[in-house]
Amino acid sequence: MSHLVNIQTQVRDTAAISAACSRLNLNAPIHRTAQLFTSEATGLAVELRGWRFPVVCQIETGELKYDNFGGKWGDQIELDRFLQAYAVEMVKLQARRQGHTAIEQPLADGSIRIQIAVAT
Amino acid sequence: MVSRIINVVISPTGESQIKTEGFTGPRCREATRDLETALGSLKDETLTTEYHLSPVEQTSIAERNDVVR
Repeated sequence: MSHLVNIQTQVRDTAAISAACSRLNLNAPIHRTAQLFTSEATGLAVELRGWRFPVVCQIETGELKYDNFGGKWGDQIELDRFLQAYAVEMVKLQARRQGHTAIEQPLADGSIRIQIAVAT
Repeated sequence: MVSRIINVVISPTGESQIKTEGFTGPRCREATRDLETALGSLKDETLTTEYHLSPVEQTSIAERNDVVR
């Protein structure tokens, strides 16, 4: 190993968002202004399973706008799943864009490992 | 020939950890820079011994080990 980095995922890629929705069998995201409980948010609206309001991805900043009232209007697990799916699809897309092969493998603790072979 | 691999582990809550294998020197950072930027913001970074080796130093160590044997 030569270096190790930890990254806080920011949702900024439209193609990866669409791929994540498809991976989780969610409806395709739609760019719109969505009503949350006390506010509005404009961006790519993702309808998570069982959520009362959509999660709005503001790709300019990587920020997510949502209102799930501490879990009462939507299970946090669904958002976590979406974030994981987004990161996985983003890694695979990026590998493809750079001409590398990527192999995905689920791990016992619920994490997903992606191994990218870098062409020499 | 040493294979160069980038391993990315994505936690159940969406955080990513990127580890490189088979790289020496700062090339590992170049190899992952675009991926790190695409994924999000850097939380922390650890450089290992291999990062500080040049390809020449790694080869010399391997040759010395052969001579000792």
